[in-house]
Amino acid sequence: MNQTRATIHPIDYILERLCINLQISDSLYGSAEESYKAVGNWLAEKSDLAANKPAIYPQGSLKIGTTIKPIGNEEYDLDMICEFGNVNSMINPKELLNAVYQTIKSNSNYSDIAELKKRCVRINYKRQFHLDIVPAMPNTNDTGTCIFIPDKQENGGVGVWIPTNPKGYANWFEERCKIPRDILNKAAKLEHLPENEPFYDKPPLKRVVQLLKRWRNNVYKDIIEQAPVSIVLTTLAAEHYKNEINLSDAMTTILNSINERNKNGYYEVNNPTTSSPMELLSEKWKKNPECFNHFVIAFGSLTRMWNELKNDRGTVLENRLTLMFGNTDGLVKKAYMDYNNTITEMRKSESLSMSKSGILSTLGGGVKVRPNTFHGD
Amino acid sequence: MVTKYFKTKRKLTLAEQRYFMSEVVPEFKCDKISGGLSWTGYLQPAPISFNYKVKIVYRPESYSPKAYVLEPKLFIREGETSIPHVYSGQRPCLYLPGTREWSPLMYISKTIVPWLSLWLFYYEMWHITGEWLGGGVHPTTNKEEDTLEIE
Repeated sequence: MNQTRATIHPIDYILERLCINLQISDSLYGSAEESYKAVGNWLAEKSDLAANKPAIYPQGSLKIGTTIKPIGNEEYDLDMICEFGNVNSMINPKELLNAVYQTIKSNSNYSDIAELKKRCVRINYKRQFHLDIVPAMPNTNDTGTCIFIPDKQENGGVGVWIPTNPKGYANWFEERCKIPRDILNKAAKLEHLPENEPFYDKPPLKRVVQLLKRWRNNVYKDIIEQAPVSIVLTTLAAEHYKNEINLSDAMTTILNSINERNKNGYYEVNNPTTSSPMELLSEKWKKNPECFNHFVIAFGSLTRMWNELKNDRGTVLENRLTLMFGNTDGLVKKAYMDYNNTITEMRKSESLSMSKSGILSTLGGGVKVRPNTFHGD
Repeated sequence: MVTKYFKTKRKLTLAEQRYFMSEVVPEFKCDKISGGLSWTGYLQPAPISFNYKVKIVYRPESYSPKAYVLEPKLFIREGETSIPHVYSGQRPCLYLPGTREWSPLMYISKTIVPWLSLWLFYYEMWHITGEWLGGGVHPTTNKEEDTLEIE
């Protein structure tokens, strides 16, 4: 094995490509961004609520860069916060949610596609995505970015205020993604990254979150209501990440460490950037312990599969990736196709060489792969 | 130091082929056989690929170099009837005869060996994607695939 590549795990070549294919297309992203800006500007500047000076900002996976494509007919889900600075503090959650809903309904662009949900007003665009507008007001117990958002069903239908902190959470997650300079410097001395490789496009922690969400969508496809929500997976992954610089090492640490924690029985996942009061993210587990138990079993199976997959090669690797992440949308095959394209492009431009063990790459050092034509009987 | 040339102006001797093989794939084992040489060793075309045990046999007076895959055994993809780009006996066809892609003036180590690794790469991709992505020519069907330019 080439010593200079010691810190790149072979399966990263395919996992990185898998993650790139999980991202939403630029055109869908552009279309979503446009819609987000249109409704945001209107709410902040022209709507009946403009006088309350709402601050509009994104939250969730869009903000932290862990969005993945939905499988099948599912829609891509975008979240935005509409935070009112000067709203009557005596207003109840239901009233605030209704006020926002009525305002949005009054706009003819949205009157037919707006839907009142438990915690937000949803705009159902006919373009593979929907936008959830979450009204919010500042949490006066906190001097930072903590807010309250309404939930109209809790408390016997009276509604409650849920504490949360989208800005603080995004900052916390970005900090968790950062790899200390000294670790990176040490790694840079060890590695010569192959050209044309999409490594470090995104920090390994973001990639792990993308993979965990895809695994969840695949394994829970028939029981989606029992599935752990994205923010629970994201928070767990971020809490268990230990500055690994490549994707597969990060995955190994995070999976095994969460799996160990799962063995100690029921626990709750809180938003680490809320305190008074704390936001419970794993609400589903509290309400239905069966969901927690199911998660423990499914996650155990994922961890075992992962630990075996690390040493898989060839078609065995492809089979296990398909089992873990699903291939109904051709995701796994597409990742291999992309890997093939990298090699084939290099071959066509005659920049491919072969190492002493047969590995084909642009790293040089071995023999150049000369043009040839495969033949056959 | 590996020479930068892939061919010479005269037919290479067996001793020269042997020497340059040991430069390019030093782990390959070379054996004397009647009228020639054989080499056995491992090729792993990509970090995510299987490691294949291969054999190259060369009898300069009788035929061009022949490449064989010993382990894991080559097999036909489910739903297909044959492996693309093999001669009978499932021997990979690495170049187009009569085009001087290969001649006895050339180093086996710089032609046959990297082409065999490339063939193994596309063989694995064929199993995974269902498509032969390496281009080439099938003379019996006269069907030309995306043929790479020949110098």
